Amino acid sequence: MSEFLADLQRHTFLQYALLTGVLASISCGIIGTYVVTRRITYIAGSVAHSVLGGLGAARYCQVVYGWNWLHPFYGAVTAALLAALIIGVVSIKAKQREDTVIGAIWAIGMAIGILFIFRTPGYNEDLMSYLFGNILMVTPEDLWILAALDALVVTVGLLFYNPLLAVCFDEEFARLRGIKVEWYYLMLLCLTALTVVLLTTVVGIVMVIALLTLPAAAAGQWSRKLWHMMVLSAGFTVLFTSAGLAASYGPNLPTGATTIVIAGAFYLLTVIAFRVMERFRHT
Amino acid sequence: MDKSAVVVLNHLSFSYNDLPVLEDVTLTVSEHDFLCVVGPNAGGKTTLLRLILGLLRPSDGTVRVFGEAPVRVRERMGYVPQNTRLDPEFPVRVIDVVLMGRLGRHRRFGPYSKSDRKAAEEAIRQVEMDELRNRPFSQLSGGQRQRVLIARALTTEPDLLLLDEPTASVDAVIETELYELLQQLNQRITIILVTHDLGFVSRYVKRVACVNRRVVVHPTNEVTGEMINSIYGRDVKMVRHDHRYTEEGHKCLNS
Repeated sequence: MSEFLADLQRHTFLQYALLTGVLASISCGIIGTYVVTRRITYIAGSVAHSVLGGLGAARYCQVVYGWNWLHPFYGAVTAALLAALIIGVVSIKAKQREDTVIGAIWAIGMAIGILFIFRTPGYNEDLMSYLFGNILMVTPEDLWILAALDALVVTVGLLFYNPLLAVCFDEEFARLRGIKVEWYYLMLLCLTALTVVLLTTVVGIVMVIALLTLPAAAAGQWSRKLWHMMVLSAGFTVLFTSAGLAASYGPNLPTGATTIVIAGAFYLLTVIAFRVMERFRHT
Repeated sequence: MDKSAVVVLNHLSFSYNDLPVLEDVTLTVSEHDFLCVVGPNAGGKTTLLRLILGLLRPSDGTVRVFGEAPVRVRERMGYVPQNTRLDPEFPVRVIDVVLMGRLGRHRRFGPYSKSDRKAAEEAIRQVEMDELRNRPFSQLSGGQRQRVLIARALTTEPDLLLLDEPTASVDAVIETELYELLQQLNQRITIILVTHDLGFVSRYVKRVACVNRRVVVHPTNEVTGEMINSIYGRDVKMVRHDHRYTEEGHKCLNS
């Protein structure tokens, strides 16, 4: 731990990593809360996995065609938004087929990504960092893109707080108030897609769902209001990503996996603590 | 057309996947009416309400609310859904739920205004929930939740209030209070109420619509025990609803 703190002052890559965690946590807290209360975790999971298709395609174009401007982030954002919109439109138009489409996008996105990565000449370490996160390799350029995405998600997520709350709580009533429920649903899915892209940098595609839902679920047990849950959940996420970074640094463990284990343990403890407290209150 | 007609259903039919739910319904609800919709489960009560709200489209016939298509006058309708439909763990307080009624006409994004809050507080007072205004919705009893949903509908400042089984999870004392509140609101608002406990409600409502695929309207003074039995009796086909009736109600031959 002291080694981490000492190195944090010396190495910029550690500072970037810490900052990445903090930036991602803000939108994670806000959007994760919507995802948990609206119960669309599996949509978020599917969108996360489809991101590999975009990352792989963009990386392929960079290496093979020399399109250096095409940062893999742009591929990730495009793939995530596309997946979110397809799932959203299908779930609005044909409710009963929603889960099939979620599963299909989940797998097809990954398959496309793996094909592109396989055909990309050179060293294939990208795949591992996409799947399991590469927070220690964040560049200043990445940070600017992350900050822009973060600002967009936070602004939209908070500006439309009231209608989004109404849509998540009681969609039918919101529709009767003249709120374009379908548009808000698609907007929420797009915000989720952008947040997922932010989080893939921190913990990787495979573990995104955990970071999106565990802090919000833990926060939900203490919260009476949706925005309390958002603030608390963002705070927890900052805690988990920073703790994950610090704990994994010394023993040289994978940071993403360490972060998720910490988040999972914390969530389990809060659930147990709550059960025990309830028991005491009733006796 | 009669200006005081709030809801006009004209030879309306509705089928769900070729399964007829409502057939040839003709019904007029006038201003300040208090219509109670009763009938067996799956008889089409909620469907009737959803058609009036414009959440469903009729397969045949027309729905007019305030002389317009329902979708165009939704802002004038307040709706109290069955509260069993809502997520009981959702983190919202009473006041947050009631404020949702101010969305739409009044507000689309940004925070609620002072007048929104005032309207919400006023509605909460009307349903006598002021002391619980900051209580989480999840910690309320069934009757309290129902009151909150009524308050939410009231903040929309409706001219027509539609309620779907508001007393389903409520004990008898609260039920009486609820109906008294509705009766008081009825002085300025037209009310349509779906319920299955007709015997209790008949003191408060003005007319009763029996829904079981077809709809027959009775003035409440003609509601009898025998009629209630016939609505809920096992062999529903035995009910004498084969005679002609007018939109305004009809003489119940059983009574």
